[in-house]
Order: sequence, then structure tokens, then C-alpha cells
Amino acid sequence: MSVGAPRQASSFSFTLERFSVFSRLLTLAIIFAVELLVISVAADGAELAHRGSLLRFLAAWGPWILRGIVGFAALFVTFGYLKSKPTFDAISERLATVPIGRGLLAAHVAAMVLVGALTLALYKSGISGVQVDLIAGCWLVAGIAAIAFAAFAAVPLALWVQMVRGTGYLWLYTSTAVVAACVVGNSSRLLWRPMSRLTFSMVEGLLRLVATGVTANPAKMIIGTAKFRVEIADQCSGFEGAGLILAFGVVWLCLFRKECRFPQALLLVPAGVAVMYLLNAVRIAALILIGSAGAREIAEGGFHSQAGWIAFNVVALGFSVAARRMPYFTLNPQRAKPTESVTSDNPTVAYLVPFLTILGAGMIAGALSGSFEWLYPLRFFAAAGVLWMFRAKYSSLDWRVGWLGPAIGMGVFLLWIAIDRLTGAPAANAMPKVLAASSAVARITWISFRVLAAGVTVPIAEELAFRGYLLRRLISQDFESVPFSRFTWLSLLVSSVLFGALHGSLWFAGIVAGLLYAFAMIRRGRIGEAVAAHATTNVLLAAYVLLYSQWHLW
Amino acid sequence: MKLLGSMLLLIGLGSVAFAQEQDVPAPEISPATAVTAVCMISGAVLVMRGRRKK
Repeated sequence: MSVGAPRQASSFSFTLERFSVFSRLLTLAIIFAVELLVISVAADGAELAHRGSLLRFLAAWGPWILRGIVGFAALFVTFGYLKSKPTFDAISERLATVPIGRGLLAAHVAAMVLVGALTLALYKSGISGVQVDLIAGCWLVAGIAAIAFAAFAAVPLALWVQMVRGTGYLWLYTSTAVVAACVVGNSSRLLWRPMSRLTFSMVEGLLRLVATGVTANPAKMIIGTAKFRVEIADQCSGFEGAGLILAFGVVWLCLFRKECRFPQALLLVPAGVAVMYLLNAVRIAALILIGSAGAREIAEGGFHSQAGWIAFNVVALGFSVAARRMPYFTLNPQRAKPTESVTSDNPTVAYLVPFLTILGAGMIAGALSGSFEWLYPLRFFAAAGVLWMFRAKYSSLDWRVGWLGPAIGMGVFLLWIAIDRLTGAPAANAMPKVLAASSAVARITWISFRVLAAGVTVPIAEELAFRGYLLRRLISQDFESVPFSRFTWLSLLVSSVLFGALHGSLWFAGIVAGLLYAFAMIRRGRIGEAVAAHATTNVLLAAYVLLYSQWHLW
Repeated sequence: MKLLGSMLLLIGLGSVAFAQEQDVPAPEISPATAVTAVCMISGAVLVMRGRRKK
């Protein structure tokens, strides 16, 4: 079933020929991503770079070319659809009658096999100079051919041409934007040094306000106290956070330009950038103070990896609230409302807030932890509190559970373990030392909350967010009117891929799990079945972790 | 749909942009937590903009 026909009933019986243009492009993107992942694991660019001039070029420019291609594809398709929807609809209509090019698909597989064989040949000892460049040249041609074969198998050449023509000069604008972004991104390194010097001065000023015995060495960019010192590297200059806020602000002002009061709203961008830059100095000063207070492990561990993102989230949220609520910046100011009114006016709240609460609590707990997240129970209490707050809203959902959910949950558990084993997981790894060394009460308490969260709050919050909200929201803006039994292939894939992306190195297992939990919900037409499947997997994983010392899975 | 698409795009591009290893022990923006953090702000914006149109 296609995105263009959301009102029809869905079925799991389908043929590839019924894919709309977006489903085909998404499938293409997934195939390329998986193949790229395999190639990047098999071939180490840095290791091969010294063997030939072409390989040296590929190692140096490959990552930039890749970023450019990904950026171009994402921007072209998104803005193409937004600006030239009729063109994409017409192509989707044509594709409904055009089957996948099986011959071209076979050619793609053959080209990829050739890429694999040439990759192995590049690693052979005893070849050098011209031979290496020749093999690398063939490798490049085979790779480009593989991409072309797959692209034309999914969407015929004539329809690619129609897509480019139908979107006018979008290809030119997008290419220019991507090249400019790559050039600016690369040359921005020149700003790192002066910005890090300013950051250094700001950190020194902040520290001298609250601490004694501050030592600063501007020549080596080392600052701290007698107990704890850090070197402010160029990459810590505050440039990344400022860049993120700049991008966020520009996207916001473009998307919601009709609501913004111009030119006043433009002030939000430099204000956001300045606040983010200042917060980076605060982050470094706080890191030094935490380390100086004796919590070196927290300073070097959780705090540094979370503080930057917490600052970004705070500033981006502040930007959004100011842009929506402050009459100076908006033409249509929104007012805050009490909880009951919020859930009836805004159904998104009850579906997303529990999951966002877990993410937020996880970031805070992580920032206040060293190598071990002692504050994990915070995630449980925060999510449980929010779920309780919206309980009236959830009472209208169907929470009944049959045999399918737990059966799928068990299947996902076995699959998870299998994928973990196949990807080289350790045979067994012991309980974290900090936890093992703690008192029995502390240990049992922490484990109890970890299991409770895995079995109760996490499955409910994640299923509400990914299956209850995202899967249905990708079908219709009024997602609550979409029955739990309905889906489109695009909504199924996108929601599952995003769910997988949140599972770190086990992303593939996460994608499959997402698809299967969605299957449970769609098959039975109720969210309870997906929650039961998810909870079953998590509880079995918890038992597996505890019984067989597989702590890396937590 | 425009907002949702943009947020998904942001998550996708954010994941790609921060997927590379960094050699700084304490980076300002840690790649390890990029997906979580971008999901967080995207979700928050979706909630903020999710009010039913009357």
C-alpha cells in the first residue's frame, strides 16, 4: 500500500511492483546503506591509502563525497516533494505499473560481487604502484556501476529524468548547497583556533569567579585547578554546538516563516548561537569544577559526553518556545495550557512525552554518572510518573494481549541473541565492577529498577512513540484516526529504522524488532500486543543478562 | 508531514554527520549520544507543534 492511498485497508500480501516512488527510494537507500556498511567494515581506507595514488585520493575525499551524496539525496527528495508534489505523484502512478528491473537488479548483485573480489585483491601483498591503481580504478567503476544498476532497477531512467525536469533547478540549488556546506564545513576549521582562545578566556573568567587556585596556561591551552586540569582542544571551541543551533534556527525560520514576525525573529539565530557558545564555556568550567571536587570519573565519563547535547537541547527548546510564545517574535503567540486541556488539544503529548522523558532522564542520569549509571532508577521514576499523569488518555486504548505478542517477543529475543553472537559479542562479561563492589541492598535495588524499567516503562513508552504515534503519524496528520491495524510500507520502514537507530551497535536487531512489534500491533489491531511483545523481549533479555553474565546487552 | 519529514531528515543527517570517530577525549558534541539527542529535540518540537487544528 502506498502513502498516496492511506484510506485503503492494508495487508501484508504485497508485491514490490506496488511500491510508490518513496518506498522504492527508501528501499534503495537501505540497500546502499547496508552495502556501504559491509564495504567499510571490509576495507579500511586509512590502511589502504599508502598503497596507491587513487586510493590516497579516495581515502582523503571519500568521506566528503559520501556526505555530499547523502546530503544531496536527502535534500533533493525532501524539498522536491515539498515543492513539486504533483511530479512525485505522477512518478508514483507510473511506477505502480512498472515492475522492479530484475535484470538490472541481478547486474547490481554481480557488480557488488566484483567490488567484493576487488576489495580482497587490494589487500593482497606483492602488488604495488600501477597494479594497485588499476585495481582501484576497476573497483571504483564497479562501485559506480552497482549504484547505477540498482537505481535504474528501482526507478527507470526515463522517470529519473522526469523527476529532475519536474523539479526545475532544484538539482542545481541542492548541489550548490551541499558543495557550499562541505566547503564551509571544511574551511570552518580555520575558525577553531581563535574561537578556542576566546573559549579559554571565558572558562578562565568563569573559574576565577567561583574557584581559588586556578591555573591557566594559554600557550598550551591548559586550564584547571591543582587537582584537575584540562586541555581545551580546537574541537572544543564551541563551534559544533553553535553550528548546530545555527542549522536548527535557520530550518525553524524557513519552516515556520508564516508564523514568525520578521525581521525580529531573525534575532533569535544570533542569540541562540551566542547562548550556545557561552554554554560551552560553562560546560568546560563545570567539568573542571566537578573533576576538582573529586568526581574525576563523572567529569571525564558521563558529563562530557552528555553536557554538550543537553545544552543544545535546552537552547533549541528555548529557541522554539521563544519563537512560538513571545509576541515580539511571532504573529500568533501560543499560551501554555493545563495538562487535561493539553492532552485533548494535542494528542501527540500522551504518545511522545513518556519516551522523551526517558531520553531526557537518561541524558541527565548519564551526565551525573561516571563509568556506571547509578542513577538509572531516575529513568524509571520519570517515565512512570508521566505515564501515570496521562493514564486517563491511555484508558481509551486497547491493551488486551493474546498469544501473538509474547510469541513475537520471544522470537525477537532469540534473534537479538543470535545477532549479538554473530557480530562478535564476548562469550560472557561480568557485572560492572562498581555494581559488583557495592552493598547487596544497593545492587539488588539497582537491578530491580533496571528490570522494572525494561519490562514495564520502556516497552510502554517506546511502543506508544514508535508504533502508536510515528507509524500512524506517517500515514496521516490526524494519527489518532488511523486504526492500529493500518500501515503503509513507508511508515513501517521509517518507524522501524528510527527505532533501530536508537539501539547503537545492535541497530540491525533493533530494526527487525521494530518491524516485528509493528507486525504484532497491525495483525491484532491493538497497541497492547506490541507492548506485550516488547516487554517479553526485554524481560527475557534481562534474565539472560543476569543468568549468563551478558552485561554488555544492558 | 512537512515538519515530521524535516525532523526525520534532521535525525538522518545528524546521524551521518556525527557517525565518524573523533580523536578528542572530551568532545563538545559527543557522537556517541547524537541519535538520542537529536531524537529528543525532534520529538520535543513535534510535541510542541502537535496541537490539533480547529
